[in-house]
Amino acid sequence: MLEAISQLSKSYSRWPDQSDAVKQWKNDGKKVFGYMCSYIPEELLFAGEILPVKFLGDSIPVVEANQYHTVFMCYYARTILEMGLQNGLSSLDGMIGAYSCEGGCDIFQIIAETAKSSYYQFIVMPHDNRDEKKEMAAEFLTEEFKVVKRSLEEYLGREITAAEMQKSIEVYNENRNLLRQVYDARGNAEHPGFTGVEVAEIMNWVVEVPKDEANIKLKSLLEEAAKRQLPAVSGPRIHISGTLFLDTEIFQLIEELGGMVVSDDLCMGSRYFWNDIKMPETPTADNLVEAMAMQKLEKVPCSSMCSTKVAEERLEHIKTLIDKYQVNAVIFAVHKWCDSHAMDRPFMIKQLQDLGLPVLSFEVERTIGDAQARTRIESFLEMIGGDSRVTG
Amino acid sequence: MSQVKTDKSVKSVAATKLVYPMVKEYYAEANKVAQDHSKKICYVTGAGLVDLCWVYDNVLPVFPENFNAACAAKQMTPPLLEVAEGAGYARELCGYFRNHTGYLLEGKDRKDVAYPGGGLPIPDFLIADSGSCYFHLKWWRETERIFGYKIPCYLIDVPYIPPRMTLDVLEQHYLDYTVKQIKGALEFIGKATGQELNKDKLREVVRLSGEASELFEEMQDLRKAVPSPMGSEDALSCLMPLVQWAGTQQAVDFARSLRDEVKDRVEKGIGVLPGEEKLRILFDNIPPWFTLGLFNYLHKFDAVSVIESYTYFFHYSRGKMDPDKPYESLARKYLYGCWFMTSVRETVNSLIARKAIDYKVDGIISYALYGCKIATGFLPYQAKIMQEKYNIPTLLLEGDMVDPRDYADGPVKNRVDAFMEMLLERKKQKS
Ligand code: SF4
Ligand code: SF4
Repeated sequence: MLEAISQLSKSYSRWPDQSDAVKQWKNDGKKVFGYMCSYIPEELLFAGEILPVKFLGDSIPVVEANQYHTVFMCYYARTILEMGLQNGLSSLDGMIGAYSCEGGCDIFQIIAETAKSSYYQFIVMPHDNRDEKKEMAAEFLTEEFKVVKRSLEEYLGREITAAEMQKSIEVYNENRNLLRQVYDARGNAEHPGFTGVEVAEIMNWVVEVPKDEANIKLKSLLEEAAKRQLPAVSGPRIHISGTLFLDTEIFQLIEELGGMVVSDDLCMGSRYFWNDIKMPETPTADNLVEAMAMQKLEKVPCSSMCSTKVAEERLEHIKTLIDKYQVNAVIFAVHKWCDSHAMDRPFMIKQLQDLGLPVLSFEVERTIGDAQARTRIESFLEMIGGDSRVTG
Repeated sequence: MSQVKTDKSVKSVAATKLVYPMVKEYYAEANKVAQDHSKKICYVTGAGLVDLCWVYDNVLPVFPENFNAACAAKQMTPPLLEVAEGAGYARELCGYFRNHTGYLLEGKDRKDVAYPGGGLPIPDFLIADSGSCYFHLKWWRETERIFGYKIPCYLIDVPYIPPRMTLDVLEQHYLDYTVKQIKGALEFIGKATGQELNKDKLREVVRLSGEASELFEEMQDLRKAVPSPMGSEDALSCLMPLVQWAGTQQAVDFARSLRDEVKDRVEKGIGVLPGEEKLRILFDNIPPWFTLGLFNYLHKFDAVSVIESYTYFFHYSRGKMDPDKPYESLARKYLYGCWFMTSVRETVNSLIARKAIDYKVDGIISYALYGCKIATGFLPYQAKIMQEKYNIPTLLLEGDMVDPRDYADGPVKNRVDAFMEMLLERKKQKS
């Protein structure tokens, strides 16, 4: 692994209380908020000098959380509750949730309540937001974001200005642009600039640290990557579809077996940064909030959304990536109990198979090892072999 | 067909006995109009949308949820669930969805199976709202896909009420967003049926919907009486007419006869049990429809399940349906559904705890449904609050509402036995 990337991994922790990035931000007298779902307006928080950190979850045993929540929920969310109950979220000043997935709505309320942070806000994301519903969804979400803005201003005791919002959006858009370049470097079939494991590390890190600092580091990483002469992957080039992982095991395993994850549409992957916020020509406080809302509505959707053809839309995104990064096979790795993704999965698998792509699907619990997925991935990769390149 | 050992319920209220013939007749009509096209068949969800259909006189709304529950009561779900799972749908998904999808994919073509009411007809259009859950919307989208997008579909995306609001004090954009979609849905139904919206009819529907709710709520209030005049085995079976016909005179008539009968029982002191009522239970969440006899089983301990959380989902409080504000009334009704399902903190304290106290219950039985994330996740937390703050114990059972395959009747009863004995012991010590 690139030394600079190993260094990055040390600058944050899955436990917000132990994260250097969080400590440093707080030392400067500024606030840190935790969030679970990426439908929250991070740019708005950052404009108010609040550091938004995504809950990464951890592959810890869940014990106490079972007293508060049934086991019928993704392991990811349950570990966040467990962390909170073990006092691991106490350095967070606030929490902000978005109602996207059903289970997340329930558990986030319990996480926020038991962690007792001083700010708590919950946003409703319009779920049916395409076609004739788009306009009303945009109005609703813009209003939700305005409510958040007002409540943040009240909390901070100051206004969040249009100039600050504009700056924040610029920083975030630049970040998205750099991450797309990271993906392009990883997906380069002749000379990959990064490995799959490295990009997984970068993605974990980037959601835990201030984006302006991240941008500086990403630029130098990209420079290093350009100079690197990594060999082309000998085994299958894999696209991973799903939500997120509590460690980088799956990326490692695939690499150990000679393949590489060259593409993804994970929550903590391309779906996080693929779409920019369109900066209004004459930015004002109002139209900037609206632009933030529009981006949430227009981005590659999470399966928890309910517009017509959400799965088809995700599939289009996957197909673009398959072509772009010359993918040979797709792995669906979805958290057990994750209804939204489980609903779209049969259709998506069938469509990809019809394109001639080998597809493996398994459920993730705590780690991929738990689900005996390891053996299945091994035989899947063996089956595909090195030269069965199928173009999408 | 594989049979799983479960118990059918025995009812004590006469009005309940009217339900099955009504439902049977309704399905027969639905299958008839599906053949002769005299009306349009529409699939609706349980949280309230049905009112919108009754505004038009050539629509016949049917509830896949009810069909699923009926299949479960007749022990017919396992083969249908297996079809859905065979098609790749995870077993952890909502049982209602799996059963319905299994039926659509293969079950409906099985002429040798005697489905409840002769089967669920194929719809002309679909409408749903998220009042119960967003999963419902995903489910309707999947149905849309199964029919190759040839059947039009309209969804009302009702927002959940976040903790910064209460049900009575809502931010304007929540109401506006819901109202706009109710108007959109009415327009959609108008298009699908070729009829103009009749605003007088809309007001009438809202009035009737409110009236039935009011009567139902009165009846619910009467159930506070000791001894309990009607147990959950009856109340849960009475839901169908109230849900299916909300907005019609039929629902009002049914609710009135039910209220009158329960009132009469209270006045005469007729209880569910022939002898002394020793324990009163609140049943929480959607019941296992395949074994409603579980409620009768409680009688063995001189216990009655006197009230449910689930029945409270279906009536929006009295006086709140204002025919002069039809859109806002309907919007508030649907928002109530969302609030009920998702506002964890508020519902535990203002709904579950309130009912537990008002109905003088000794314990709660919560049924945690692995398929239903929204109604289930927080149940352990609720149990904890009910114990620590209100000193009311909860028995947490786990299963599905229509899938009996993992339901182990013996072990469930053992747990119920232990819980009942514990409650009896507590009661003895208190007195
Ligand atoms: S993994 Fe699925 S269930 Fe878990 S938070 Fe994400 S969308 Fe929700
Ligand atoms: S049982 Fe739960 S998940 Fe299924 S439709 Fe009803 S509320 Fe939704």
